[in-house]
Amino acid sequence: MRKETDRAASRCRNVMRSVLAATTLVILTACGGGSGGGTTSLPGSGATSTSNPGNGATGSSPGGGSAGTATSPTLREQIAALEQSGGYPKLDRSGDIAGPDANANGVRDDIESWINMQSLSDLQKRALLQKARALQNTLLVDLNDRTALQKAGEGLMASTNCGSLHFSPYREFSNLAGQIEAMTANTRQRAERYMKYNAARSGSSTRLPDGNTCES
Amino acid sequence: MKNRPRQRRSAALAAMTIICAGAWHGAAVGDEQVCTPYGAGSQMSIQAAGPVIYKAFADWGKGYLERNFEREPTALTGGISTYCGTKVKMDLQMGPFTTRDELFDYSVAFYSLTGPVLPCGSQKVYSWKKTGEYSAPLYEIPNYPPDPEYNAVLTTEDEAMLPLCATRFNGPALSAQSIVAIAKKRRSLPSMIRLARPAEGVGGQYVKVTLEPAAERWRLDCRAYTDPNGDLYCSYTAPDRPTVHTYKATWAFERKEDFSSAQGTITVIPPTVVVGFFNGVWNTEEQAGDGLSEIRSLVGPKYRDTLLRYENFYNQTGTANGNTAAQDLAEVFIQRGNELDGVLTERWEHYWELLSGQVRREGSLTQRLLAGLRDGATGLSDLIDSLVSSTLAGFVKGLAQLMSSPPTAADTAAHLTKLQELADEGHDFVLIAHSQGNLFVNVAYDGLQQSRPLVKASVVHVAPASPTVRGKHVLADIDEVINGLRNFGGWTVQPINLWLNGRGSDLSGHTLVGTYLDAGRGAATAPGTGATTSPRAHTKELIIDALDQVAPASP
Repeated sequence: MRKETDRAASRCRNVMRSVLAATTLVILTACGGGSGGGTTSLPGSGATSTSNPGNGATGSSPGGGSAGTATSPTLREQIAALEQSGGYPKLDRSGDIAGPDANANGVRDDIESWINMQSLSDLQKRALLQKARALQNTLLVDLNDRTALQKAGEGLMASTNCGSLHFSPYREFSNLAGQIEAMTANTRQRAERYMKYNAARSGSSTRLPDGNTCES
Repeated sequence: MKNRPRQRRSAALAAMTIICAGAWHGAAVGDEQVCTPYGAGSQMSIQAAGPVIYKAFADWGKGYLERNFEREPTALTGGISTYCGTKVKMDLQMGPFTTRDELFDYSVAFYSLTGPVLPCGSQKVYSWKKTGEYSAPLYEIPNYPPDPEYNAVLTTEDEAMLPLCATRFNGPALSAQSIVAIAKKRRSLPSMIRLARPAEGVGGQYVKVTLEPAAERWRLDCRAYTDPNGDLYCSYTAPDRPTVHTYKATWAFERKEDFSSAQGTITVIPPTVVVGFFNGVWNTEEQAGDGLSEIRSLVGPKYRDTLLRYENFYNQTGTANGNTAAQDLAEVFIQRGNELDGVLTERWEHYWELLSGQVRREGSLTQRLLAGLRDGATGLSDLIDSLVSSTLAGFVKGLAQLMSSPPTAADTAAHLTKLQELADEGHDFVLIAHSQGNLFVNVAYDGLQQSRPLVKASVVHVAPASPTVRGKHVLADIDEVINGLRNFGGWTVQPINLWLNGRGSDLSGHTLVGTYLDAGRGAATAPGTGATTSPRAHTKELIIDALDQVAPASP
């Protein structure tokens, strides 16, 4: 336990060192142009390749798992086994933005399974399903329809409010909702679509409702 | 009327109906126009249902002559008979209206025919004036050539070729909004009641307003006539206690009859302060709403006797500068994700946890993945650490770009509009901004103060990434994002005023919930002194202080 703490602290220090180094490079890049509008270089590609001493070891080293041996499974195989065992959610990673929803309840099947596996009350699971449905809707809503966009935003807020009614402290819900958000936009296509949704919502204002906003 | 030459032609209804082509006056989307070939003795049947206005007119080619029939006729006994060159609707019972003149019976809306009717076979000039008032017919030919706006010229030689048309369109209708007013406050209501067609408001119309209970009628003060936009300006003085008043607006043409009416309610609520949240860097809308919900759990649904209404004012980093910084972060994730056999390339859930600062939180997806691996976990963990540093650098870059090209009034126009709407409802404000949200809140706050100087508003700045502030701020010593701006960018930022004991799982020291609302760490308000508070308690103190400014305790 102590070792784990020390390792975490050491890792934290390394990260912060990397941050400072990367930040230096980025600021120089960002400020060089003055206006900030013409910067096209990727900060991460430059910064991480020069600043992180661990990169050499993690990037192409066999230890990273990319060239697994006959006796030790590759990283990909380990993750597959972890998903198979239930240690990590087995998520749909198809190219389809919507993904499978066999019961047509607006929640992707893999996320619904994950929610149902949680040790929670029925009301809490329903609150999470509502959150999942609201998030899924952000991937499917017509980005040119301002009314629909506002409704999608209100759906997010309603589900947040619903979660606050059934979880105490609220942070428990917030952490689970954050994972649902991450799982919802879990492929490149879904992530891009989710970014577009959020860009379309910039400038919006939405009320956090009171009262019972849980869906029946 | 007795002196008016006329040629009454009564005949059967013309059988054939065609759809008129060409432009015609007053048409709007959804209106229907039906025409029949005009000939001696033609009549036209107007058939439609619903509360509509019929506008019958003859398209004479050189102009038009229109007749307006308000409301749906309750009976049509004689159809339309014609005089030379014009048509007069006979024996049409218009419900409550009083027949006054054959020509003017139904010209009650916007045009009244005032021209003479000459014998057939001669040139006729018709004129009418734009008024809702009844005008007596003129018995002399008006100036010629006629005013194209108000006159039409027709020659009866072509009479047989002319179409006779009727238009059914959605007529003006009153609408009444149900509104909310704050107890003890007077509220201007410039557009609570509106008289409009689908495409435009109708001005200059008399509207009568009543309020229930009648004894409270004095609270609702309305002008008598609609303005050019069709709006009826009112103001309302709210009572001291919450209640609901019902009002009824009635369009009374010539102060005589009801044409349209509408009802609404005025709900008086206790004093309310809007707690507005302007989110931080790279927040999704979901995360911004989560931050607002955390603030609500911190402050509660009311402060003293004042209700708190929580509102999310969402902004996205990079929208103003073409999203290049957002694309950069995604590009980095894609590039680095290719390492380690590309295990991260199709695992974008970790990207979102990177952005939200959750990758090191116990129980996060990333931590569960790392915890479940044996061989290779170290390599993946190092890769994620590397991505964390890149992400933080991306945060700083995004903020630097935003500070170089800060939000303008145009960027925050929608937010300001919402703030003004809420101010007009009688709300006061506590605006809380985090990170980049401070750049947005400053512009919105300034706009609100300039446009609504009497509104009470105070601002709380959390981790401000802005050179100036409009209220008290909190900035932690471990905030690597703001430190990055200060130390490496040379940007003018606010001074550190909170020193934290240790770092949490939020490696940036910058997130709202992970750092500034963290209850698990001690904090000091001066360097080198012992912890006297927590970040959460300190931030709450600032918000309470702001609430005190806009909702002070009753004496």
